Amino acid sequence: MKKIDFPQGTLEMLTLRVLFSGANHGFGIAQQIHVLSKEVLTVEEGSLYPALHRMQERGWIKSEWGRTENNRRAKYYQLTTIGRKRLGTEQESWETLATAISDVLGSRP
Amino acid sequence: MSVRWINEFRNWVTALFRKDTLHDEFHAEMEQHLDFMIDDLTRQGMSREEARKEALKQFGNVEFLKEDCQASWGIRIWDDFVNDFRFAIRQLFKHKVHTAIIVLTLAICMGSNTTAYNLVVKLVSKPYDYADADQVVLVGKKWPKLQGDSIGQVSIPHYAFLEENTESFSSIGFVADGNFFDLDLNNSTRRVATDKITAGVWDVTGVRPVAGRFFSQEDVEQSSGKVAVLSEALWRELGGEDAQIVGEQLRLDGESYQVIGIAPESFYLRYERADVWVPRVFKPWEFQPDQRNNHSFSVVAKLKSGVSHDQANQRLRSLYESFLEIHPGDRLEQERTGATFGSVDINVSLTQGLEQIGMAFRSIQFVTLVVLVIGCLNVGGMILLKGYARIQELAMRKAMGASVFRLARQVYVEIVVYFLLGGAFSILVLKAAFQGSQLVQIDDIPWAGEWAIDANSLLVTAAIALGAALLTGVMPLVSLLRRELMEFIKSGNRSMTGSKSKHRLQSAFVISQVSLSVILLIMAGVLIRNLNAVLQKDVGFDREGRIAFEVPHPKYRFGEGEEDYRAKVLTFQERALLSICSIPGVINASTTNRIPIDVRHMNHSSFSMSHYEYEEGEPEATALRLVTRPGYFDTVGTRLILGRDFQETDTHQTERVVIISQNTMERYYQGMDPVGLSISIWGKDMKIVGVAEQVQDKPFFMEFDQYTIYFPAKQWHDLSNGQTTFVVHTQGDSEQQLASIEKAILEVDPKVTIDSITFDDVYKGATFTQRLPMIMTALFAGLALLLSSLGLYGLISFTVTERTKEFGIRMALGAGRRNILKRVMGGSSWLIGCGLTVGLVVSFLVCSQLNPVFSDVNTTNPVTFVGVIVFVLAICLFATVFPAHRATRINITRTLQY
Amino acid sequence: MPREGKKDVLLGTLDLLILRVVSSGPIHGYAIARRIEQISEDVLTVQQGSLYPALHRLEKKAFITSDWQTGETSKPVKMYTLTVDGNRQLEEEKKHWQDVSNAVNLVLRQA
Repeated sequence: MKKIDFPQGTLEMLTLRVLFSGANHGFGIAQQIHVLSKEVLTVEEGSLYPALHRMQERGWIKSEWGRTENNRRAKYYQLTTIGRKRLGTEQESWETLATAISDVLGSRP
Repeated sequence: MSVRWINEFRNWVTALFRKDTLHDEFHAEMEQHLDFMIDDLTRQGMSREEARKEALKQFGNVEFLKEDCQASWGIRIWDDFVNDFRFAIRQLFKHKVHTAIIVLTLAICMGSNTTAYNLVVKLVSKPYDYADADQVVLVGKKWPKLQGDSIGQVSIPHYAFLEENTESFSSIGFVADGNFFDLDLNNSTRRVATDKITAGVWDVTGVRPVAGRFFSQEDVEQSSGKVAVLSEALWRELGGEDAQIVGEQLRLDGESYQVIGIAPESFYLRYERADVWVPRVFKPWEFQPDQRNNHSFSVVAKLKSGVSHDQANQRLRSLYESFLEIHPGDRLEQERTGATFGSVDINVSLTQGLEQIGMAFRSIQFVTLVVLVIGCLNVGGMILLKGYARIQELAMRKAMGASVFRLARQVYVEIVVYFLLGGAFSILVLKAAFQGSQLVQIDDIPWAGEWAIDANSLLVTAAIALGAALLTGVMPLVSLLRRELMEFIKSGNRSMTGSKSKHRLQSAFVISQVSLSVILLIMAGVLIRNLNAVLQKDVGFDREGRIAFEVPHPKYRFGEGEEDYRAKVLTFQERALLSICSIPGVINASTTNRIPIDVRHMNHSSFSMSHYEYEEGEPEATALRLVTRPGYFDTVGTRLILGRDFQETDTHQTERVVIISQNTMERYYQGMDPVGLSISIWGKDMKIVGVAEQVQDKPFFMEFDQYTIYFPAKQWHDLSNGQTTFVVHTQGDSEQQLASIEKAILEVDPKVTIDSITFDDVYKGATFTQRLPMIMTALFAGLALLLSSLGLYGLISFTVTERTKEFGIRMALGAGRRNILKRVMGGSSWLIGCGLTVGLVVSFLVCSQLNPVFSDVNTTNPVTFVGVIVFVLAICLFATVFPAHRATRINITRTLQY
Repeated sequence: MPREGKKDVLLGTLDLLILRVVSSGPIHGYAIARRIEQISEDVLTVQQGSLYPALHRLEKKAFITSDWQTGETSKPVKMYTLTVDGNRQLEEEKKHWQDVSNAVNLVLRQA
C-alpha cells in the first residue's frame, strides 16, 4: 500500500478527533483511525508519537499512566480544554485545505 | 512501470555526471525566480531596490535550497558517503582503545583462520595435479574382509591380466616405485629416486612434458628400455635448458640411458617423489604364476568416459573371478579374505593410507573455527554496544527526519572502515604466521611446501566476520524502528540503568565469551594431552646417539651373479663395520635394512605357523621384514626378551633362523615359548631363536600392522632392497661423528653413496602428525584466549566509561574507592561465574562422549578442568581489574561535566 | 532540518498540485507557485524552499521535463512540461487524494 502523505496537521486533527470520543493510548488511537477510515489510513508510530509529543508540548493533550484491558501498563492521552477548542480550529483548517486542493485539482486549464 | 525506473535511473546517472551544469542551471533558475518576485513586488508599488531586499528576505537561504534540490536528485549520496567516512575516522580516533581492540580482534581472527584453513586444506586435500584427476584411479587388489575398501598392491601376473582385459579403462599403467639408481655425474655419484613405469602411465596421468617428450611403447622397444625422463628439479640441478640435457646420455647404475624428456615439477606418482622415470621392462619369468604372490607394484588407470567408479569396480570384481579360474589356488584366500580387484579415485587413495593425518588436522580446523566464533562474538558485541550507546543520537536524528536508511549507512560505513583496518593488519599477522610455520619441519608430505597465502580463504574468513558484524550492527537500528522513540530520547542521561535489552546483551556477551573460552581450553587441553600421550609411548629403541647410514650396493658394481653379489656385499659390510668401530666414540655398530619408525623400505611377507589355527575370516599373518646383523639389537637399544641375537655362525650354509617381535609372540604363541619352534615363510621352515621387545616400527600416522620378523643378513642379504643401512651408536658431537663414520665407509669403497640421518630426525619426521597439531592447537587456543580477554576487557571498560557519571556522583557522595571497585567487579563476577559454569558443564558432556575417540587419555581428567578454570579466572580477573581501577581514578569534577 | 513555515502545510500533496498545474501546459517555477496560490485563493502558499526541491524531484523521476526557452524577455526561462508518465502519475495521485480525503472525513464524522 502506498504511503499516504497527509497535509501537515491532519494527523493532529484526527488524533484530537479520536480523543474527543474518549481517552486512549497511542496504539489505540492508531487503531481507531485505521478502523474508522475503513483501513485506508494507516498511522505509523514514527509519525504518531512525534505528533503526540508535539501536541503535549503545546498543551492540547495530557497523558497519564494506566492499565489496559490486558492489565498492561500504557500511557493514556486525553484532550485538555485547549485541545478541545483546538479541534474545532483544526477541523476548519482541514476543510479549507481539502477544498483548496480539490479546486486546484479540478480546475479547468 | 519498469520503463519509468529506467528513466529515473538514467536521470540519476546523468545528474551525477552533469553536477556542474546542474549547479549553474540551478543558480540561473533561482536568479530567474528572484527576478519574477521582484517584478511582482514592483508592480505592487515597491521600488526596485526595496523589492530586491524584500525578495531576498523571503527567499531564504539559497545554499539550503540547493542542498535540498540536490538531495532530490539523489546525488548527495556520494557527498554523504565522504562525510560518513570522515565521521567514522573521527570516531575511531576518539575511542582509541575500542578501536584497537576491534581491529586487533579482526586481524587475529582473519589471519589465524586463513593460516589454519590453508594448512588443513593444502595438507588434506587434492594433491594430484593430473589432467582429469577425477577420472584417474588406482587399481589393485583389495581384501574387504580384512582391510575394507583400501586398495593394495599387485603382482606382475595380476597386472598383465588387468592390462589384457581393460574394458573400463582407456589407458592403464604399471608403477614400480621406491627404486634408487646411482647417477654418474662427472666427479661424483648422486642417488636418484626412480620410478620404473610402463608407457601407459603417461597417458593415464595426462601430464605434459616441460621439455622433450615422454617415452612411448615404441621408444621402449627400440631402445631396450634405456630411455629416461627426468624431473624438473633434477633437470635444473644438472643445468636445465642451458645444459641441453634432453637428448644426452646419462649413466644410471652403470648403464647408459638417453634422456628424452623432462616432467613438470608438480608431477609425481607416489608418496615419495621420484627424480627419474625409466621404463619397466618385464622379463618372461616375471609372468610365471608363482610370481603372483609378490604384491609390490601399483597400477594406475584412466576410466573410459561414461564409465563411473562403481561400474569400474563391478567389472573389476568379475574380472577377478576370471583370474581365479586361471589360478584356482587363490580361491582359498578369497574365501577367507574376500580378495578381489578394485579401484579407487587416485586422490582418495593417497589419503586412505594417511587417515591419521586427516583426523589430526581436522582437530586444528575445529579449534580455529572456535577462534573465529569468539572473534565474531567479540567484534559483534562491541559494535552492538556502541550502537546502543549512540541510539539516543540516532533516535533524535530519526525524529528530525533522517531516514533509517541514512542512519544505517553511517553505521555500516563505520563497520566497513574497521574491517578495512582489521584486514590490513591481518595481512601482517598472516605474514608472521607464515614465517612461523617454516620453523616446523613438515618435509615428509610432498605438497606441504607449496602453500602460500591463499586469497580465497582470506576472503571467506573476512566475509564471515563481516557478515557477523553487519548483522549485529543492524540490531540497534531495528530497535530504533520498533520502539517508542520517546523512550530513547527521554532516557537521555540515565544510561546507568540503560535499557533492559542492552543489559541482557551485555550479560549474554560476557557469559558466552567466558564459556567459549573454557570449552576451547578444555578441548585443546584434551587434544594436546592425547597427542602427547602418543609421543610418550615407549618406542622400543633408543634415539640418543644413534645415526643411520644408508649405503646402496647396486648389482652393476657388486656383481650380477647371486654368489658373487652375496660375497661382495657381506664382505663390504664386515669391512665397513670394522672401520666404523675403530673410530673413537663409537660404542656399537651393526646393519639393518630399514630404520625403525621410518616410512621407507617397508616390505611384508606372510608367514604361517603349524600350531596355530586360524578362525573364520581371520586374516593371514603378515610381518614386516627386518634384515639385521648380530649386534643390531644392542646398537639400537632393543631388548631381547627371550632367546638370543643372531650370531656370526648363522650363515648361508646353516639352518635358517629368525627372531620374532614381542607382539607376534603374544598374538600367536600365547602360553608357549616360541624359541625353538619353527615358522614357515615362503614355504621354508625357519627356527625361531629369539623374541625382541616390541618396537614402534612404523610412523605413528600409519596403520601399524604390528608384526615384525627379523632375518639374519648373512642368510638373506638380498631382502634388503639392494642397500645396507648401517646403524651406529656413538658418543660425542654427532655432527663430527657423522662425518668420521662417512669417511670410514668411503675408505672401504670410495664409490658408494651415503645417505645419513640421525634417529632423532627420523623420529621427528614420524611424529609430525602429533607435534604439528599440538603446536597449532596450543597456538590457537592461546589466540582465542587473547581474543576473549580483549573482548571482556573492552566490554567492561566500555561499561565503566558509560557509568562514569554515576561513579562520579557516588564518589562525590562519599563512596570510597573500594566501594566503586566492588561495584564494577561485583557485576562482572556474577556473569563470569555463570560463564564458567556453562563452559564446564558443556565441556564435561562433550568430553565424556569423546572418551572412546581419544583412547589414549582419560578425557574427563579433573586436572585439565581445574587447570583451565584457574587460568580463565585469572584472565577474567585481569580483564576486570584494570577498568575497575580506572573507575576509581575518575576525576569527580570532570565526570559531572559530562 | 525542516524549515517549513507555518504556511507550508502541503508536504506530500505538493507534488500532486505541481503535476496538475504543469499538466495545463509548459510553465516555469515561479508561475507554478503563483498559480497554485491564485486558484486556492491564497489558502495554499508555496515557498521556493519547497517548490524547487519538489520540481527537481519530479524531474528526476521523469514526470516532468525541463527546457530553457526564450520567453517574452530576452532572458532564457526554464519551462517545465508534463510527460506521459507524469500524466499517468497525476491520475493515480488524484485518485489517491480522493481516497485519503474521503477517509479522513469518515473518521471525522464517526469518531
